[in-house]
This record gives sequence, C-alpha cells and structure tokens, in this order.
Amino acid sequence: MSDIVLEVKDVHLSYRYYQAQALKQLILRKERKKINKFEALKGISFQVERGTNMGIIGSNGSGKSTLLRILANTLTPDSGTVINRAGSVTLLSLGVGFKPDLTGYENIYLNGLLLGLSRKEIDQRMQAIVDFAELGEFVHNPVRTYSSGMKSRLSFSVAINVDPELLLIDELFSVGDEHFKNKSSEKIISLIQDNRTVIMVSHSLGQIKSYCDKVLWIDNGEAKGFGEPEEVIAAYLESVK
Amino acid sequence: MYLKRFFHDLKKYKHFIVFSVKSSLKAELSNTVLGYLWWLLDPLLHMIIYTFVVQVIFKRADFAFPLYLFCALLPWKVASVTLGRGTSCVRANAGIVKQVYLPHFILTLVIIMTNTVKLGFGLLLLLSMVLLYKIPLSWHLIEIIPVYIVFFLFYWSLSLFLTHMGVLFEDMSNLISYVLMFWFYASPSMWYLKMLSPENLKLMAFNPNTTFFTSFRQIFMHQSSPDYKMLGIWLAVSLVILWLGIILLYKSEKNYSKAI
Repeated sequence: MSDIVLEVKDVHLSYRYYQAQALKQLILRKERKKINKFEALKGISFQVERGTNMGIIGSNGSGKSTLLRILANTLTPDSGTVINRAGSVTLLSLGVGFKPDLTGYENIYLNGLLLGLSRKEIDQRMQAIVDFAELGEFVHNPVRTYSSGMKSRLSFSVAINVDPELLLIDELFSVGDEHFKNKSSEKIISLIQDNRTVIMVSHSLGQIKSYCDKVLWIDNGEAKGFGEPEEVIAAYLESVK
Repeated sequence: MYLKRFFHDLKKYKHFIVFSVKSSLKAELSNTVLGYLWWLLDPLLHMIIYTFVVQVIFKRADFAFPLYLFCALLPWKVASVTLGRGTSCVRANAGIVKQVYLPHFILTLVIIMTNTVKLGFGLLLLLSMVLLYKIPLSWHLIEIIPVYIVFFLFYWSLSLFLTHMGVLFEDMSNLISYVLMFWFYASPSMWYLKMLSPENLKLMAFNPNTTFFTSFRQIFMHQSSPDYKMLGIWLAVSLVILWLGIILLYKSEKNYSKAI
C-alpha cells in the first residue's frame, strides 16, 4: 500500500478566465482582450507521504497561497491533477468567516459545521476549544467585541480541534501574544509528533527548519527546489541575496 | 451524478444550513432597537406607501386594496431579497469560500430560508388583516403550502444563476436592483389584471408573479383554490432551472475564488 497521502502532478493555474469584469468590457469586446493573464502556478509537482510536515517557502506572490487553496479544495487547477487521500483537510488561517454579530460560542458552531464536524462532535470538543482559546466568559459575547488576538486564538483553537488528517497552515504564527505563540507552537509540535500530515506556508525560515521534514520552494509559480529543509533553504537564501 | 451529489451535500450540510438560518436571523436583530418588530413593520410600511399612491392619489383602488397589495408585497419581499443578495452572496462570503469548500447553492438556500421565516411573521399580519376585513377563514388556507413550495423553488433556482453572474460581473449587483424594481411594477402587484389590454394580459402569463400573487389572493381574499395548472407549469420550469443552476454552480464554483 502506498503511503503517499498527497500527489500533485503538473498543476497549472492562471487567474485569466475568471477575472471579474465590468459589463462594459463585455459589451465593448475590444477591451476584453486587454485582460491580462496571470500565471500563478506553472506546473507544480510533488508528493507528500503520510505524517510528513512539509513547508512551502518563496517570496510574496510566488503562488504559495494559491497552492494551499488548491489543496484545500477551494480552487480547481486549470490542468494537472491533485490526488488527495486524506479523509479530512482543513486550511487553518485567521478569521475563517466569523460572523461578528454572533457570540464566540455560536461562531464555534458555525465554524465547526463548516469545517465538517457534526453537531455532536462540536459539543464534545466545545470545552476544549474554549479552554484552548482562553476566552473564558467572553465566549458568550459577540465576536465583534473581541480583540484581534482573541479572534485569532479562537479560530486557531477551532481549526486545531477539528483534528483533520491533513492540516494546511497559511502564515499562522505571526499573531497572538508571546504566551499564545508559545502555546500554539507547542500544539504544532504535538501535531508533528502524532501522525498527522501538515503543510505550512511560512516566511519564517527558522520555523520551517525546526518543524518541517520537507520543503518546497516556489518562485514565480515554478518549483525551484523540493527536498531536505537545510538544502532547499540554503538555495533559497542564496537566490535572494 | 450531480443529482446524487446534490442530495448528498444537502444532507451533509443540513445542520450548517439550519444553524446559518438561525444565526443570520439573530444577527439581523442584534443591531436594531425594534428587533423582531421590523419583520412586521417592513411590509406594513411598504403597504402604507403604495396604498397612499393608489388609493389617495390615483383613486383606482378596489375593495380591500391594502390586503390585495399585501398578497403581493409579502412574497415579493422574499423573492427580491433572495435574488438581490444571491447576486452578491459569493463576495459577501468570500472569507468562507476561499478557505473551505462549501457547495454554493447552500449560500442562496440559507438566504431564501431565512426570508421564509420572516415571511411567516408577515403571514400572521396578513391573517389579521383578513379578519379585519371580515373575510371568513377556510380550509383553503392550507393550499398556501403548495403555492409557496413552487414559489420557493422558482426563486431559489433563479438565484443560482444570479450567484454565477454576480461573480463574473461585479456590477451585476447594481443592475439587479433595477431589474427587480421593473419586475415588481411589471407584475400585478399594485394594479389589477383587468386594467390590461388583451394582448398584454396574454404576456402576463409569462410572468410567474402573476400566478404567485394571484394564488395568494385566491387563498387569502377569495377563499378558493389557486390555479393548479399554472402552478404545475411553473413547478416544471423551476425544476428545470434548478437542475441547470445546480450543474452550473458545481462546474464553476471552484473557480470563483479566483475572481473575488
């Protein structure tokens, strides 16, 4: 049995076809040609084994987040294939469609349901989620009254407790106070220790080095390197000098 | 294949749908002083405005004009909000759509279900007006259920196409408000079908609101059955549009987050 949980083969994606346009442009066909095509991904291929923690590095606008969104199943590549054998996938990032007028408690429900938990599962995890986010009594207040730190703690806490087989992280660590940063790092480490697959995008090479077993370096939509963190990061640093 | 997926998704997300409806009802209320009362005030105030125009200025109103008007205003409120919000729903939910996969037909389903609950409150008001005009109640009231089901399916299915258009063309959400205004005035809402010339009357058969509004009036004002033949035709039309809309969204929804 193959232990490859994720197979990405020659994935291309460009932002041409579905660029929102004014009706005016549709009527005046001429202008339509001017719509520029932006190739976000130009043939990315890689494989991830079960339990691996993979980091994705690259400069801003290189296509890292686009790739994560394809893995999270919210974008379809124009060509190429993505075979995902993980039972559940969660893209962890901040403010996941929180409704500001609802309480933290209700947002946990809404969020949990969106992320694929059943009501029963949410009930079981509710206490753990609230405790981890350290919201205390605030959980009964509307989210619009929360500080940005509280919001990010809450969304982190929900996503962590969803317990997905494949966890996707898009720049998470730069939020929260020192205390919560430490706590979330501990949680991440515990995720590495269990057999979960994690794919994270980060600009912090230090974190990538300490948490990841594999690194993918994307530049301008192309894979420039894939393999051992030390080597790939060294090559990346060399290129940006 | 799509049909199976549709029912599967409907089942999978049923708790999310119910919870979303509840929470959007609640969220709408939390910022207003009068709260629930607005669901009654909104159609009531509209009714007063149009009654003023027709009864006082044009002097063209027949018996129980406010009631006649109300039978159109209530369902139209649901339809117009569903189509209007449906057009911008993907953008409004960009945070969700970009991060987790959610079948997009659920977005408009939540909108129309939320407004159906509000319509329920409006129907209470409608019933009290029926009593006020001393119109006897009868078992025909139950026939509002099949009428509403067809109405619901028609506007929900239409909103699926507007969801798609709204993503492709940003100014669609501006345009739609004028289309909706025209549609309202082109429907027998504040005027009577007997005012039309025979040719125009034939044209009105192509406007589903003719059937829907008339059905509401048959049931609430005349205590008789709606025109089931026309309802049947619109049911068939709705199911076809729904089927096409579901396929359209399934095929293109994963490209939407490129555009927003």
